[in-house]
Amino acid sequence: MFDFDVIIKNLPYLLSGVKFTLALACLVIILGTFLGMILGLSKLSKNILIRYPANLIVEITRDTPIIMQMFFIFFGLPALGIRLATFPSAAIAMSLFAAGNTAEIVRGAIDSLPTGQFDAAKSLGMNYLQMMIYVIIPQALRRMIPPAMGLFTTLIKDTSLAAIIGAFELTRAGQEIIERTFHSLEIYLVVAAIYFIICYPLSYYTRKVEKQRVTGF
Amino acid sequence: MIEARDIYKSFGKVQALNGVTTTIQKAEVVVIIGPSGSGKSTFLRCLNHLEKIDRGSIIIDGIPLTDSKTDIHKVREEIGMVFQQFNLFPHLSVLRNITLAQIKVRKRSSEQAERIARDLLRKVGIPEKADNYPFQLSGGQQQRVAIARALAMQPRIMLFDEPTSALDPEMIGEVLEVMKNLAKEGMTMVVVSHEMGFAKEVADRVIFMDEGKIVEEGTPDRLFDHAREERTRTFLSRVLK
Amino acid sequence: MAYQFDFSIIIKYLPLFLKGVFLTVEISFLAILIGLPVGILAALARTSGFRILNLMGAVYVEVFRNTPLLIQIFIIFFGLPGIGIKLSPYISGLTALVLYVGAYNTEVIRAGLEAVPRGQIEAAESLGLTGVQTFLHIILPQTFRISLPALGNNWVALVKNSSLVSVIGMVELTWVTFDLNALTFRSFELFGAATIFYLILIFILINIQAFVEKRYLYKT
Repeated sequence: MFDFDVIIKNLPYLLSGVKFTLALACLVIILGTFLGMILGLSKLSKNILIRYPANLIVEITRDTPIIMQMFFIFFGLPALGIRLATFPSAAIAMSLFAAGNTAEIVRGAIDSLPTGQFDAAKSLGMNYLQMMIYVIIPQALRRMIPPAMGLFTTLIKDTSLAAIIGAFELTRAGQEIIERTFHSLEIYLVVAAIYFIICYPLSYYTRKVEKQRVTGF
Repeated sequence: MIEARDIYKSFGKVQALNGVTTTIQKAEVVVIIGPSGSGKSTFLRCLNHLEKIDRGSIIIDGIPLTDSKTDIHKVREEIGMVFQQFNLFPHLSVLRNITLAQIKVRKRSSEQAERIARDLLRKVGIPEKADNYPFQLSGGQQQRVAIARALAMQPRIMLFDEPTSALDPEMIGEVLEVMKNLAKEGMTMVVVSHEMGFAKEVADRVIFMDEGKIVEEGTPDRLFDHAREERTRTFLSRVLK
Repeated sequence: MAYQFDFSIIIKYLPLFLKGVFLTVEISFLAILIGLPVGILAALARTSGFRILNLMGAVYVEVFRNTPLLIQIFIIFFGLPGIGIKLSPYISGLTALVLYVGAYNTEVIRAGLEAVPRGQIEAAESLGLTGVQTFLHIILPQTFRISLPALGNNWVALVKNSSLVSVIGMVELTWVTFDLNALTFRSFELFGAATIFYLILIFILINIQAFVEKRYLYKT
């Protein structure tokens, strides 16, 4: 009953989808991390004009399903005259989601540092910028790595959602093959396997890094 | 040198400081004792503006701390602080811990900063640990590095917030030794501590605080042996066993 | 031709939206409820001494955490009929969510189990409690207390992920929104409103979580 032939014949097409999956993931990770760091530091700002909007953006992007954000950007924004294609819509929605979560990771990492570090830096006469650059951020970066890697894995998996609005990547490639061949089980299992092959090493490595954190700071 | 007048400070509903007034002279060594919650650490942290006071004034060498025109970072360059938890920067080597603020805040060259750092490490007795990282050092060694780090800024005043309270007994002595030498050299020091022996030996004045107020102050001999206030005597009898 | 905004349709279809919210909450709640014993069982398998059980648990967890939920839903709804198992959208969606949250729960519960101090088990044994009694009355409650924050996070994520079951035709908030969109084409207003509904829902859940944590967790 299980048709291996269908898998072998369509594997190249699936792999062509993987290219887009990885491209989308990388784009989102880079954009999201960059935006997220800015948002994260803004959340800690003493200036209300910076802090409140940052908090708002982070809450909206973190507390709503990514798919909703994709739908809003792809289907809803044309009402404002902004018409984006499927790939850019997915990229922007996911980048916002990534940014919101990265901001939370940044805030969490900085909050987890002992207040004594802030005290010591201040008592030595450092101003805010010096304190952040030389004392706080170097230590916070170390603590951001495990949750950030978890986020990256999640983002790779979430690229599958782009298929729902029609963007071409691995999942969409699978759907197209199934439309032609009707072998849902075989194809989806292979698609799942490909995602697994991409994500598992990342999870494994994340766990190792987490364990390593016991030594040092 | 330090003039504190009518300091009031509260944390939410808790009134930590209830009108504290005292003056600390140049080269004076003042030890503050008292039960936990008496406000002694809070008072100390107000002196370098780690805590903002609600009411009152603090004037350091003629510069009012609470004046908005005062550059608090410049004032902090002249005040060194040593913490109960050491607060060394774990991601930097011992040497870098001591040179970082020198270079970035005092704007010294890295050669000069390193020279001063190594001199101070020698002074506190651990010159060989310059390239180690804090986690490789014992508590006593870490605290001595913390003292060197504060001294490297060449401050006019040194504040110590229970510097030995987090140390194992065998290591308290080495840190107190460094502090005693510092006092003998004429540094202006304000020390919050439970080490009565240290106070007896080195303090010019001992201040007893309770419930956010200065209850009594005087020379160590007078205070320890002839305390005037009931509360002082009760506290001392419990601590000096 | 400029787009004419019409926010009144949100008021007009509010009952439908609220029904969608209710269904989202219902399916999330069911998935959480069923996902908990699944997580406990898998966690026990992973901490048991038996290598086979450990491996099976590990495979379950790794497969469901390293593949997209969407694909899992597709396999259950579209793929299983290929070997003769035809499940309704509701059951498919629920099963997928249960297995997904169960996998994440497993790791959290496992960490909680391992965090219960050995001394607790020794004390219970010395009092004469049997293994099962020890587990039910001593270990499990403490595991729960330790894992609660992380479990809470899983559950909030589940509510967000529940939106995916709409793609197989299961009725909940996202599906309702899509349906209304096909009817009225007022995408901006509809998806905007749906986003806000999710936002409020999640926001309430996060605050409930914080409240419960504050009141019922002793400070370690």
